[in-house]
Amino acid sequence: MSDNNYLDIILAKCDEASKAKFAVVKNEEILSTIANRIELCNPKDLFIHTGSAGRSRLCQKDGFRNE
Amino acid sequence: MKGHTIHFDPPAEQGRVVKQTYAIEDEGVYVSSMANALPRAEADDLIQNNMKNIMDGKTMIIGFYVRGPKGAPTSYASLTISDTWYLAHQQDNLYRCNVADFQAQVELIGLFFTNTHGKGSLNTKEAYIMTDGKKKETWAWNVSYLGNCALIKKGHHRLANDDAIYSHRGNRLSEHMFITGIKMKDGSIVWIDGAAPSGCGKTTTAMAGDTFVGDDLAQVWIAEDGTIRSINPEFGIFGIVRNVNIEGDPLLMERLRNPESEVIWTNVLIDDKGVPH
Repeated sequence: MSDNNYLDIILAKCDEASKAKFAVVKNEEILSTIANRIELCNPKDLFIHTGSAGRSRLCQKDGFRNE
Repeated sequence: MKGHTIHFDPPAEQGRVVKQTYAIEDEGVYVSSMANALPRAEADDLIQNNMKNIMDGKTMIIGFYVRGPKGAPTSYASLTISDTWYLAHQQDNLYRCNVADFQAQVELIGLFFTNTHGKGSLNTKEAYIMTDGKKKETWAWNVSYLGNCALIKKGHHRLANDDAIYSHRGNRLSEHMFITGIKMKDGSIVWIDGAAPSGCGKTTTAMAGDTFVGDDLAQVWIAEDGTIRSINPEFGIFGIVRNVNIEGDPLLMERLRNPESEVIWTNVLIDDKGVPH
């Protein structure tokens, strides 16, 4: 599987915000690892957690809502 | 209290599921580990059968964490892939999350660790925790207790330990150690790393110093100039508060009772008036 295939698999699960966050990830091994996990676990979408401001509060809030 | 969260784990999973924790073993390679050894073919089948579609209908949360400050040769990049917001929330309180720093550390060190966690059924009897030293991966499913699913901590510590022993023997240590500094009369600071098993006072001892750096994990190495360097892979505290009190642990109690501190409580009992203890 090529670099582009990995990225295609990942981007197909991303909204526009996550696509933008993912643009900085260039390492092929990182891309292949994530793409393989997507194919195995089959999530409906991805949340790319890059350490942006307020991240913890966002996860806390979503944690309450979803779990 | 503002900034505090209470998390509830399944009744059967109030601690680590040690008997269901495995180290993946390749043929002809002996795994010296407190975990149970599991042949690779068997482990691969279990992963494929149990993780297949485990996030169906859910969001996959991908976290780019670094186990230590950027630039240190022992700050390993640690990729966390999970369907649990609680895990992301907890790891944000304990590890640095930054995608650019993650990539920089992958380039610097030449490797990264991956933890894949599926919440699954939360049926503890069907839970698995696996460490794959060869692929530098950890896996966990049907678990929620952080000791079982936040494998960036103990699981990836084991992988860091392997790297220290097999790739940097005699130059590095990756250990369960606190790091603290004690100020001398002349103003200099004597730095101390110390080891003790869980529940034996590492946090309390570390906080007795004047400059607290870490209470659980330490990466130690000999720098090019011959000096000994040490970092804490974490930047928060994960621990048991049994027997913690204002006399013995004033700094810790202040942090736990401060509304500005973000604290996640687990294993909390709620009385009939709805008050947590």
